[in-house]
Amino acid sequence: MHVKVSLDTPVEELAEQFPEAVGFLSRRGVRCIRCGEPLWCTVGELLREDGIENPQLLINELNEHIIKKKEQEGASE
Amino acid sequence: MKKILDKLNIKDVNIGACSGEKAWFEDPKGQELVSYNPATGEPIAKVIQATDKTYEQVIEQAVLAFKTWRMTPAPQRGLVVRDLGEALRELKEPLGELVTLEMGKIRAEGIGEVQEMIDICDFAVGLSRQLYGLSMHSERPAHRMFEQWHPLGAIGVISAFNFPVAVWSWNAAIAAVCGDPVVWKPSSDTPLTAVAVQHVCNRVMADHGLHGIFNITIGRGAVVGERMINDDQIPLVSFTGSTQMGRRVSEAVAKRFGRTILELGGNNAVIVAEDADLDMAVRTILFGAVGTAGQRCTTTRRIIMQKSIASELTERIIQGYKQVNIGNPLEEGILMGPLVTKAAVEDMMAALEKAQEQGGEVVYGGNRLEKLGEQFVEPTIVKMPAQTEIVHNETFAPILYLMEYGDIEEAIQLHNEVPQGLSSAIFTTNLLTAEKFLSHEGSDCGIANVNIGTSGAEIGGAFGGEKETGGGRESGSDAWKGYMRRQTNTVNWSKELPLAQGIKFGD
Repeated sequence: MHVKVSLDTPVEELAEQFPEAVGFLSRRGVRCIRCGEPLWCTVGELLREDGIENPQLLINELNEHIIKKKEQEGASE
Repeated sequence: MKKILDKLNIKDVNIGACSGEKAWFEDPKGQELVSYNPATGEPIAKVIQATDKTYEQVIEQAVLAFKTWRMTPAPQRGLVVRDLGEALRELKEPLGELVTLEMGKIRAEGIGEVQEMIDICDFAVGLSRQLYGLSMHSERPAHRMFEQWHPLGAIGVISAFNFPVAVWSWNAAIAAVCGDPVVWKPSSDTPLTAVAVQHVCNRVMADHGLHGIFNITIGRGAVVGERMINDDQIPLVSFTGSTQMGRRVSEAVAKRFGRTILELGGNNAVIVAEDADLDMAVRTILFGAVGTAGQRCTTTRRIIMQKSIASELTERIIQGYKQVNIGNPLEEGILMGPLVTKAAVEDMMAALEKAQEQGGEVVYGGNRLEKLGEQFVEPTIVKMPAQTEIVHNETFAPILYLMEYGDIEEAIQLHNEVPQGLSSAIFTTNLLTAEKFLSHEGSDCGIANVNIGTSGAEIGGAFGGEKETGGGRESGSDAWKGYMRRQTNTVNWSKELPLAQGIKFGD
């Protein structure tokens, strides 16, 4: 599986296509959803605003998390 | 479902940019947006989103319409809004059901939301004859000084999913009688209700030989939203959403010296005093915390209860929660539907983990209800040892935090400690405590109630809040002034030229 999310991915797209990313990022202090709606910025902008020191590293972890999640779902189907 | 959609003229694929019956704007570059039923996960219908080109077409129509609309006498503008209210009365049930279908609130609340649209139209009709300006006594002899309120221009309304049609109407009905065309960007989670409302508006506008007064541009925030807030053809943007987005909107609009009306996050608390009527308090807390699945701006998120009644109140709230039927929000007897998106469920679960890390104890709920569907959750009560960081943040989900206090000063201190300032309530039968809560040393919110809850505002009052809630006011009272520009006029009806402050210049 290839990398799915990048720093340029709009948060609106992220929340719609990979809702599991919302919980993953929230547990690391980054909230994509506010008042029930995704923010309008890109994932990169959001990570910078929330003071994440190495945004790319977090993106890599996020992509691994998404891939694992999809594999688990595939296995259980 | 098909019956509801047919009644509202919703097709399988709908156009997301419109200024009137003969002004639906299509662009082959427009991307499809699918609207899903949050209760079932099934697609309802699609909307072709606005592009830069179709956004411009809509704005052009609205700006053009302003030139004639501002010259239409306000009471005549009121007649158009009266007819809009009548048209909404005819479609109250199907439109309310579409609200339920698209965002998941229960049917009674969906229909109640359309009733709110009708109420604000009625209010606006009366207002159309009451756009009063003051007259002031001039300090100069034979001079008359007064103020007039003039229309502002084509205004932007950016609304959220949780009140997909009512918030638009609070703005649109008032703006229309004030002489301002409205360009609406609804939430991407609820585009179909916006299309349905546009069809109603189109019919009303056509009956009056109008177009361009009520307009929609459906699209992502990063596309249509950003265009709108940076568009200097839009002198006012009314934004409902999060504090974080409100900051972005506010900065962009202020940069071009435009105006904003901001209705942002809330973190609403109910203080329950030792002398409160607990029967009333429990019923109110239940509606305030669980209604709309905890997804109202005014949802009750915190209970600050006096120590001596804390155990009894907690137990009674838990008993109340056990009675809440959760399921398909269109069905009779259901009190709580799903959350709006899967992402919202993830956000809630992450917040619950944090609450527990910060010492919170889940005393009721806390789980997903996957048997009902992916977006169903249990309404949840968390007992907190203190008002920790997670309690300061608004999580848009049915999480209720319980905290205890000793004296009323401590209760008010806890109440006002959070950064948001939308709605608040106290339950007490002590007049002195009630008055203290409403006083300037009491609640710091835009809305403060006694013996009623934080949610369920009427349209007659101004709606909005302080601090990070943004300071905007919509709907009733004198909120209309935000949609007009004030002009101070002085007329000299003498043959002298006296200056103010008694200044002599060149005499």
